[in-house]
Amino acid sequence: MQRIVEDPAVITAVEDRDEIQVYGRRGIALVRGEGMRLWDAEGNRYLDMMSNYGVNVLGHGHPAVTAAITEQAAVLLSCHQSFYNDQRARFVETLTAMLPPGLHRISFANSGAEAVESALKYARMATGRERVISTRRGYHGRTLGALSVTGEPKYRTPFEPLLPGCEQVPYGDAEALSGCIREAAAFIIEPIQGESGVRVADSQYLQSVRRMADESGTLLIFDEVQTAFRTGRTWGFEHSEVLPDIMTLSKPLANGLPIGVTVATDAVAGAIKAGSHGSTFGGNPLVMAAGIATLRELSAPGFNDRVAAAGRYFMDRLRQIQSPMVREVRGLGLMVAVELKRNATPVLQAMQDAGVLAIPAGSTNVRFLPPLIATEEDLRTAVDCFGKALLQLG
Amino acid sequence: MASAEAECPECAGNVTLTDPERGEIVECPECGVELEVTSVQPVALAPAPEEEEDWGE
Repeated sequence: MQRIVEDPAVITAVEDRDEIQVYGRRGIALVRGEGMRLWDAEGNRYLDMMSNYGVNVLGHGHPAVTAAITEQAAVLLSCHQSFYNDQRARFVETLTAMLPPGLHRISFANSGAEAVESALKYARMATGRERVISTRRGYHGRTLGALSVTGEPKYRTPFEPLLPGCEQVPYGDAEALSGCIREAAAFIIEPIQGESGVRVADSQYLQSVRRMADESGTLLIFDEVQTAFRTGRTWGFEHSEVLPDIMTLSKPLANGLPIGVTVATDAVAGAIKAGSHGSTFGGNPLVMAAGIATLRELSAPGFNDRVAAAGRYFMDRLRQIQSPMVREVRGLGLMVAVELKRNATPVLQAMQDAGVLAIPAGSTNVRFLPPLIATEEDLRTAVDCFGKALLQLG
Repeated sequence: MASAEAECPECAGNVTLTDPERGEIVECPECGVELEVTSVQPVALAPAPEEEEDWGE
């Protein structure tokens, strides 16, 4: 059988011809990765400043993760959750040891959107209420339930009507929330909005949100799919010291293999009946093994401090760029965006052409979600490339 | 820095701009829609064109 992967043009042609085109394409086929670097099918090398939208936190081909996957692949790949499994139990032990007391009951899925679906179902079941409030510009995924609490009209409009009882309030506006939180099942929010352009919620706002949720019997859901491990603390909520009732996790947990986890308090977990939710692939031993290896690396002493320091260095360098195109640099840890006055796509294209991969957030933000192993030299290279792209297009 | 005000063509909300530039993209604080500055004297806004290449999440 002829291998198509040897010809970049064939890769592109096959994917364009036979896949449903739900994604805009960036014109290159990525075929290999190592550490902070990726290679396309033509052999061009790129500095990875996106980690596949926040997934490959330990970079590509991390030896501990690769060894765990290789070893487990020969032992057992799949194991339905109606059966117990050693790798799953080990992952649960590892993850729950990192969670705060009282927020330690977990269920498995295969993506962030699926983890959000679970969270919405658990909130409805635990409260017996229907309404879910979310934030304008918030992003929680594109399955129908998750889409119902996602803010971007472009994603929502073609599929309306979505779930009934969902409404949005401006991010950071406690007064707007106070007007509609009564009798709601849940309020779902990202402690730092990602897709909207890395907008960090004010701690006082989140504390007000917690207070209002307690007063109205509404569950507070933190979507930490993108923020977990990336902000210089293990969880994004640590910056505000506000604990959620439910938390969704996904991207970084297995360094590239698909995983979703919904975390809940005992009170919420106790209200969920067997058979009310499920996932055939969720919690499978292969992903669990990769997850254990990943979490061990992420929880190493000093890891969060290094991410925090790298983030400060990166944003300092970005803020030194003098360009009339830049409106604002925002971020926390290695979750960073530069908001431009213009569409970000030409800048991203120019950076890609120069060998640095970053991603958009909304139409005007260049977003950087590098692997958390990025060195100062990597970050300096990215800043230089970004600055040159602005100069070229300005 | 010169600031200017304009009306959002989608919701009629008030949009404040600092040193507006033709072609700049801003967001309406009222309805959240993205708007393009189509003129600076006087300041005029129109819905921002949909991106041809959507590389979003």
